[in-house]
Amino acid sequence: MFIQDQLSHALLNDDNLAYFKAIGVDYLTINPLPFAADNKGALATRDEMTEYLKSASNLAKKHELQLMNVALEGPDEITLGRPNRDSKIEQWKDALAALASAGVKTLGYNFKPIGNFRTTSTVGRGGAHYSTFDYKEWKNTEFEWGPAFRDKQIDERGMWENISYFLERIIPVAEECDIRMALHPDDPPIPEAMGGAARIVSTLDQYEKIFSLVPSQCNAMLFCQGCVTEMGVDVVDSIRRVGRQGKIAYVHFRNVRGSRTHFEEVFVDEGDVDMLRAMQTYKAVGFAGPFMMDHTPSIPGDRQGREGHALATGFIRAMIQAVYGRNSETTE
Amino acid sequence: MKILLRQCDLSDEYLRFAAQIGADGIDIHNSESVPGWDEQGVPDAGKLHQIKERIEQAGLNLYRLAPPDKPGDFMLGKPEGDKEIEDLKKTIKIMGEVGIPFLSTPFHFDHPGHRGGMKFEHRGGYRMGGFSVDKMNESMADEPFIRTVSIEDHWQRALEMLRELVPVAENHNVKLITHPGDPPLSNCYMSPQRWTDLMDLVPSTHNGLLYCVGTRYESGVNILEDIRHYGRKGKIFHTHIRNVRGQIPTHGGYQEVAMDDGDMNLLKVLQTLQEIGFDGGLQLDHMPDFDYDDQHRKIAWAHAVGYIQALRASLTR
Repeated sequence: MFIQDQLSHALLNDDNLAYFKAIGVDYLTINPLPFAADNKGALATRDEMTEYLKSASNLAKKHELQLMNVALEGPDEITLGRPNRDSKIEQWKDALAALASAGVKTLGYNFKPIGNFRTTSTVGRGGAHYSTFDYKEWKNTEFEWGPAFRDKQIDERGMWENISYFLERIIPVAEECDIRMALHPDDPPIPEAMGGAARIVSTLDQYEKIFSLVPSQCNAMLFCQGCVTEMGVDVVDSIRRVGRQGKIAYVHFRNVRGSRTHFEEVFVDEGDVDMLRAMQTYKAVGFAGPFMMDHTPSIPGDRQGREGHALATGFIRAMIQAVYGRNSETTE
Repeated sequence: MKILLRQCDLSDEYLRFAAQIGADGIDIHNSESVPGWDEQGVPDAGKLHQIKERIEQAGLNLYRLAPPDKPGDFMLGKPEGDKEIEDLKKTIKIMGEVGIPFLSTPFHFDHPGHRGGMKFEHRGGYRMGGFSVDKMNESMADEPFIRTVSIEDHWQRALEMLRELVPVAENHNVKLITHPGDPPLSNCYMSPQRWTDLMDLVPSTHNGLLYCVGTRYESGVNILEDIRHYGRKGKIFHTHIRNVRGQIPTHGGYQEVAMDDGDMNLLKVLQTLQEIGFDGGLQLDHMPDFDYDDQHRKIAWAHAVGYIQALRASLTR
């Protein structure tokens, strides 16, 4: 019981869940949810969220999967510290209560007003497309992006104030609900303003500062191996560093080539990360899953990414069996 | 060790897919994909060369060819059987020129075990084949199984054919490899015993085993000891990798399953192959039927290749 994989709420159905089970997935993540913390979703009250999550959890159980995790985006009101942020924070608390009543254990989230950046895709193995970021190319287009971000300008100090304000109010509720908040790194993890918004979740030092703002088991990290590699640090050392603090809520077990100024998201078997050493290190620090594939290069003609999910899930299962052992052994 | 796919077709789409998921190469399993082979008994040398080039351009290699499925005239004992032997010799020569290292032997047809074939449903509804001794026996009771060729005649012809082909194979550096009869039953042509004897009775550096991990496990052996046994003899030339639940002597049959879902610890299988010095092909074999899979079974191949890639990566330490 280690592998977690994600479906959009729009794709949550019997067929897709049976497919997950067939390739060996154990835990389910819903990402995105049909409701967001921005009040735009159709479901917004605590009762509505609870009802939705319970029915999603039951659907997962029908396929012998466990609804373990969901993802939420920190809304602009919270990350930018807008006047009406308190109502968003109240809604986040409602979401935590709803998640708890449905048995969800972890909540993945981002804390950044401006989203992920990518540049022109590279063509990789067999003509597959690799999601790519090139800092120089991006810099040349930053001004083109500018107008869209005009109302999202914020400096580093403002970001720190806003995450403190948020965590101080949310982490105690997360503790009551017994849900670990798992913060995903900025992607790309560049600790400077991009598009005019400062980024404060781009280094492990920043993570440790975030942990210390509100010390709690529930103030944890979504250890995205791809983003951590891009930070330019040694992944194995980083697993030890974060893992020994007990701060890894779950892992994105994927592979990349490059560093924060230029990287490509490659297939799981061909990147810079020594995946076996990484898996051995998770075990050594006492982490016992879940592992998620997160994303994988798109295979032309692949329908809903099924081949990509199969490839990465097969890979992760074999690594888990090699390092953590198999459930049943008959050829010892 | 190289991760190989059992060829489905030779379309650009399929070859690109195999390269994308990180396979090292393919085995051509369908003789109809090789122009000339089914029609005239011998591959068209120029076309086979082009096929190999296309595979290489896709970033892959070509390891093995399997001859036409239908029993040949020699194995059937027909008077025109000499042509089959001559055709196979020509095929070996062509393969040597083109540079394809392995040829499967044409010994498999008329297998009583096919009467016991079954389909089973597994995790999340994926489906895969299996075998039941009871079902086979019931079918035999209903309708006797009649062989085209007696086991003894088949055996003598197989030995005779191998003895004819081995010198040619040695000259052209093409290795002849024999798969065990599947299911592994004592009353099938290439029974486990005959499969073993074939190596001792026609000793050659170019006569060896297509060691099928699945078939061997199904026969009831301790798979790791079995690999060590044939490995010590230097007879494991090429492999088929798959996973299974159950063994014929203990379970009265077996169910083929996805790589991660069976009795065998395939990490230990690969470790043992490494231990005996095997550095050849791991051809991933039978694939599960997943819903939504396409004509190339891309979901199944991707899952299997990912699984074996990770096990291979785990061998380095």
